[in-house]
This record gives sequence, C-alpha cells and structure tokens, in this order.
Amino acid sequence: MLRFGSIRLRSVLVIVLMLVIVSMGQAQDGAVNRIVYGLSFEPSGFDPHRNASAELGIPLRMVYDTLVYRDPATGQFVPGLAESWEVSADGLVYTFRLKQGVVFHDGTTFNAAKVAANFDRILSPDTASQKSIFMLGTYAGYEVVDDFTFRILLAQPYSPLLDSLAQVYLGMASPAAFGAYSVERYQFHQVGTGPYEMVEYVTGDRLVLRRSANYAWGPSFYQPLAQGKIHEIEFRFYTDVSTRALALEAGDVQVIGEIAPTDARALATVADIQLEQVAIAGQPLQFLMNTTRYPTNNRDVRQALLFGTNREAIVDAVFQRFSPVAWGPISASTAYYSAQVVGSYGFDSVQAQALLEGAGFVDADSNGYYDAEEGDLEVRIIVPPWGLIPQVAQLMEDQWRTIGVRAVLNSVPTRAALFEAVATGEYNLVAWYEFGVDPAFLSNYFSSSGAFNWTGYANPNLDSLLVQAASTLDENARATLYAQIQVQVMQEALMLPIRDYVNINGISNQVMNLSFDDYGWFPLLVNASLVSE
Amino acid sequence: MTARVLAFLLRAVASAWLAVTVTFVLLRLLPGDGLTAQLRESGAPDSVIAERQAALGLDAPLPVQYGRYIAALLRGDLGVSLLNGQPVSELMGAQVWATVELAIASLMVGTVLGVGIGYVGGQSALQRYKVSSRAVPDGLRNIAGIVATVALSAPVMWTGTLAVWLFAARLDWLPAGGAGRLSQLILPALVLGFATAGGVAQVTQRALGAIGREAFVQTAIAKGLSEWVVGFRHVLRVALPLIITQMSIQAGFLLSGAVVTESMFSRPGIGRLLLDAVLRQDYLLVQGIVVWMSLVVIAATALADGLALLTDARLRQSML
Repeated sequence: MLRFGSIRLRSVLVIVLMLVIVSMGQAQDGAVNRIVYGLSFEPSGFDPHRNASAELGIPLRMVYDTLVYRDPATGQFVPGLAESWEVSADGLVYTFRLKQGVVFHDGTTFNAAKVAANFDRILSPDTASQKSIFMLGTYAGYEVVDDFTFRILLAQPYSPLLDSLAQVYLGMASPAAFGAYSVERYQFHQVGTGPYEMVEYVTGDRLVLRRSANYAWGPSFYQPLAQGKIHEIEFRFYTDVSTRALALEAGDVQVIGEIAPTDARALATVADIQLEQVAIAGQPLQFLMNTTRYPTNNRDVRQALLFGTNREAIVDAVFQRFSPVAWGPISASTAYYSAQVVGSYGFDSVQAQALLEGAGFVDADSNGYYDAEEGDLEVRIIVPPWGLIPQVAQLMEDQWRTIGVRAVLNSVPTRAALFEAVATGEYNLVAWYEFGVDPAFLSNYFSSSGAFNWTGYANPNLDSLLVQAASTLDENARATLYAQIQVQVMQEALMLPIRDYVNINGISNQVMNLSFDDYGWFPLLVNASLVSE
Repeated sequence: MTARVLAFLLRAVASAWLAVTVTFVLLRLLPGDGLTAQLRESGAPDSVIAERQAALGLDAPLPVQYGRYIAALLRGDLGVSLLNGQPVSELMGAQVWATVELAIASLMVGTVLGVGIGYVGGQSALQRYKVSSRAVPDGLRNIAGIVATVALSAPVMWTGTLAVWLFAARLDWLPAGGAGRLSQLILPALVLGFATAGGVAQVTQRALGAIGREAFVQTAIAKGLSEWVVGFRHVLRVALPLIITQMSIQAGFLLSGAVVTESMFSRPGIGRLLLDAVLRQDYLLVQGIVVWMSLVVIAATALADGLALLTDARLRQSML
C-alpha cells in the first residue's frame, strides 16, 4: 500500500511542478508590451523582393518603408522615403526626391545609391523574384541623379507604378544586409528602415519584431512612438483554421486573422474579443464565364445565370453574413470602384427562366432541366478548394436546378490544376480572385490579349478602354474609364460576382487602435497600443 | 545472423527506393508545380517561366528528372525547395527536433496510458487463469474498454480540438499551442499519446490473455509463487516484446511527423512542413520528407526487431 501511496505522492508533485512551470511561462509573456499575432500560414519564404505571399507583408510591412505610401484615410499617395516626386508629361520619367537622415536598422544611411541597389537586387536573375519584378510594369531603367534624387524610366506609360512602389514587395532593404547573405539566407536577417526591426525568424515556429527606437521618418499616418505602444510582436503560424479562434480565446494570441465565418459567429459573443472585419481590395469572389463555349457563349444564358443566383442566400449560409454581396468585377474598397453596378442582376428566377426561354430553350422531356444541343442544359464549373468556394458552388448548383440549368462541378486540388483545367477550355465558369487596390489588374482578365482572359471575350472597345485606363495618369479620367469598364463587363455578363472578400480578424480587447492599410491585409501595428491589465 | 542483417538491409533499401519512386510519380501525376503556378499568378511572361523551369531542371523529360534525382540522392543531396531555394535538408533539419520532442513525449504518454488500460482490460483473463485473485470491478474494466476503443478510433482532429477547447479556451490551464516551453508540449503530447495508447492497450490486453493460460505460467502459480512475481516476472515480462514491437511501430509513425497535431497546435515539425509542401506542390521538399519518413519507419522496424531479440530469450535461442 505504501508503494501506491508514494506513486500518488510523486504524481501530485509532478503536477504541481508542471503548474509552476506553466504559470512562470505566462508571467514572462505579460512582462513587456508584447503581443502574439497569429498568421494563417507560414509563407514559403519571407523575403519581399523574392517571395509573393500576402502573408509575408503582415509582419514585414512594419520592417520596410516604401518610397510612397497610400494614406488609408484618403487612398491618396503620400510621401514615404521619397519626400516628393514628379512625373514627366509623357508619363515615362518618375523623379523622386528622397528624405535625408533616414537610417537603416543596421546603422547604414539611406540614399539614392541604396535605392538603386534595391532595384538591382529585385531585377537580378539570381534573386529569382516571384512577384516584385513583375510589379514594375513597363520599367526600362533607373538613374541616380544625385545622392538624394532617384529617377525611374518607363518604356510606356504605366499608371499603376506608384501603387506598386507603395507595396512592401518594393520596400527598401539595407544593401549592406542583403549583400552579407546569400539570396536564400537574407530572409533570416532582414534589415529595413521601418518602425520595427526584425529580431529573428525561426522556420515553422515564429517571426519576432521589436520596435525601433530611432524611427522618425514614417508617412503622415504613422503615429510616433508613445506610452503604451507595442514594443515586441511575435508572429506565429496557425495553419489549422479550427484552432484559430480557440487560440484567441485561450489568450495564446492577441490578434489573429482569417477566422472561419462560423467561428466568428461564436466569437462575437465572447466579451473580451472584438471582431474586426476588413474588406480586401481587389476582385470579389467571382466566377468568370467562358464566352467561347456552349452554352455560356450566349449572353442570355450568362445573364440568366446571374439572375438565377441568390447571392444574399450564399452570403448568409456560407459567410454567415460577414461579407457584403458583390455586384461587379471589383470590390467596393478598390480604387475607382463604381457603384453604378450595384443592384444589377438581383436574384430573380422568373427573369432567369424568361431569358432562357427567350433564347429558345425548352424542357421537352419535362425532367426539370431545359434541353440543350445534346441532353440537358448544363454548365461546367471549375471549383478550387480554397476560400469556401466548394460550398458556394454547391449552393449555386442547387439554385440553378430551380431555373432548369444543371451545374457540373469540376473540383481541382491546386492552383496549378486550375490553370491546367482552364487551358483545356472545357469549362463554362471558373472561380478565381486576386487582390490589389489599383484595378489595373482588370486588363489581365478582360482585354482580349490578357494572360487571364479566361472569359475568351474579345471586344476592341473594351480593349481600348482598358489600355487607356492603365496608361493615363489623370485620376478623374481613370475613374471615368474604370466606371465604363465595370458597367460593360456586367452588361456583357462576363463574370458572376458573389461577395467582396473580407478578412475576419479577432482582436483581444487589450489591443487598441489596430487598423489596417488600404490593401486590407496589412495591419498598422505601429499605431496600435496595449492596455495594461 | 549475417544473412539476416544483409536481408534486412536489402529490404530497407528496396522499401526506401519504392517510397521515393512512388512519390516521384504520384506528385507528377498532378498537373503543374508550385513555382510555375506562383509565377503565372504574378503575371510572369511565358519566356520567364520557361527560364525558371529550366534553371531547376523542370523542363527535362520525366525519366531524366528521375535519374538526376536518384543520382543526387545517392550522393546524399536532397535538392532545393522549388519555392524558396533553400536546401531541403536544411529546411527539414530545422523541423526535426520539434517532431522528435513531440514523438518522445507522446510515446511516453501512450505507453503509460496504453499499458495501464491494457492491464486493467486484461485482468479478467488473468483472473480466469488464476494469475490474479483481485477482482477488477466490472465498471473499471468497461471504462478501460471504452477508453481503448475511443483512443483507437477517434481522429486526432477531434480529440485535439476538444482538448484545446477544454483545457486552453475554457479552463485556461494550458496554452493552446506553440512550442519551446514544457507547458506547450503537454496538450499535443496528451492528444497524440492518447491516440497511440489505443494500439498499445489492445496489444497488452491480448498478450496478457494469451500468456496467462500458458503452461509455464500455470506451473509458476502451482509452485506457489506470489501474484506479483507471476504477474510481473512471468506474464508481463513475456508480453514485453509484443508491447515493444507495437511501440516501435508507433514511434516510426510519430517520428515521421504528426501532420494534423503539429498544424493544430501551431507547432513546428516535419509533419507541418510536409503539409505545407504538399499544398504548395514543392516537389523536392515533399520527396525529401518522404525519404526521411521511410528511413525512420525502417529504422523503427529494425529497432523493434533488435529489442525483441534483447527481451525475448526464446527468439535469441532460435537465432543461434
């Protein structure tokens, strides 16, 4: 009996010891102004000049400054590392006057030669950039005019250039730092001029930033370092969506993004957590319609599919109402968005069926589906696995059954498989979206020569509008052009918009004033503060 | 003996080769690769995509790519990640210890829990064969049976979410995830250990039943040896090789990375690396991890055989 007693005693001791260790760990966490920020996944690489993921920008937006910034309040470009800039009348020469007195975290000084070194790195074949190099559009070269004047030369006018320069992928890194490491290793030792310094990146585990004491050259909307500001941020990776909300509830993380809509519904009732729904600029969740394949080569059929889709019901069921219904090819938070498209093709199954019957479709065999050239009226949809698209497609399948159209879902496991499926041409609709504030990306999708012209639509008038919109520098002219483009895309029923993308962030009540930049993904952690308990 | 070792090595090489080859072929049945998809999405022109593919040798015919891969593998070179250019061995090396740590902790939990449950479950058999005189209450035995069944059948996805919900979110006793501190190891080790315990319990229980009725056990009882001596020296001792074999197999699985558990608890590890690599279609990285997994499983099998030899005198006898 004594034996059992001693075992029990020992196990009690072990439990006590464990609890002591646990409580010690928790005490350490609260010591400084420090938060843990949950990322949705670990990007394949963290170097903004090389890698492409939006996730990398969540921490690194705070490490790097860019030449210009977009003010989130106005959407306008404001000075960053460039204190001013001018564009030549022909739109081919951009001259930037750089700020003086800017110092990288490694103590080296920022100047025009350093900007040149960054461009060299981005353009170098050794860097093998997966994104930044392709953001430079018609880039033709640069000139270092003097120590603090830098010029970018273009081959053709390219109006999204400033938008590119405002993004972290074209952030300014210390040449001394990236020169000291191989192209693959630099991601572990990144040095910028931003409000936070990178402390460490441990693959699979964490990336840590610490507030830089000397930072005094931020854009107008960055607040200065003050009492209560966050000193240290540890980013962790929460790949599994089912435990994201739980990690927040447990207090493991103070901020976490991309919470599942169903979890968000439950979190909304938790007292010490706020939900911050951030609209992401760019394309809504959409289904591009193939205008070269029967039956979506018929505009009446495309319009019938739009009328036959109950988007409110989809947003209710799949996104738990955490998203606005989308009406056009760009979401409401995107630059040059036009509200003219709002309300077009509201759910109307009678109208949908009238369009189909007007186009000559009948249901001779009375099986509930209209008859096609062969068999029933059928549309094939390419369905990738991300973004709750399979659930959306399933609801569409149900809704279209009631208007007499059969949807056949072709599930693809990866992006590469989606590209492959599109290349075969054997689809009527394909789900896809990309993000970005400047709608210049529309050229890729709706101009006849666009790399993503998956609609197969070719219209010289629309082509010309898209070219003008991407090359003119006049803001008002662009707004008018993009409004015309949005209306025309919807008139031709080239795509079926479902919902504007919304990132649901869960934020602990301890974290105050956390807002997000114009692109939607990137938190302005520099402005956030921590309430002491 | 030498022949046996040689045969084992041959089998090991053949299984590793088979695993690598099957993975190589299966991955390439999927269309495209992660890098090409990423470049296309970023708006890279076709000429640039072709250049990048050529630089990584992705433009070569499949048999040539395969030949190059096997040749490099024989030199111990696992290649580089398609997406970030780092050597695969380095990427894996950074994750191995987290996986080993979790595997050891889970195995400890699984063994204690599994042998315990199995021992309770096996009591009725021991009683029937007069090895044990103390009656285990039916309730306790039933509970052990239910726990063993749940451990065997419940997916880690479910037990893990439940554990995080209860111990982290509701009771706030333990962190929901992370790695580095002992407190962060407890929940994932309990969840994974629980899953491991099911198999161990089953083997233990069956072994006790089977051994209890053996003549040597009955002789020992007839000789009037105490229950403790019979229970431990005769029954459990003989059951040990079976339990160890089961544990070694589990160790092989655990060391090759707990994909779901690592992701769920936001832990680094080989399993998470594999998940990310598969999702990104980073072929060389996936292949590298498969090589590691097959080696670990082979090593675990070898270990099981070795331990069985050490602990089982009958087996040693038959080998000589």
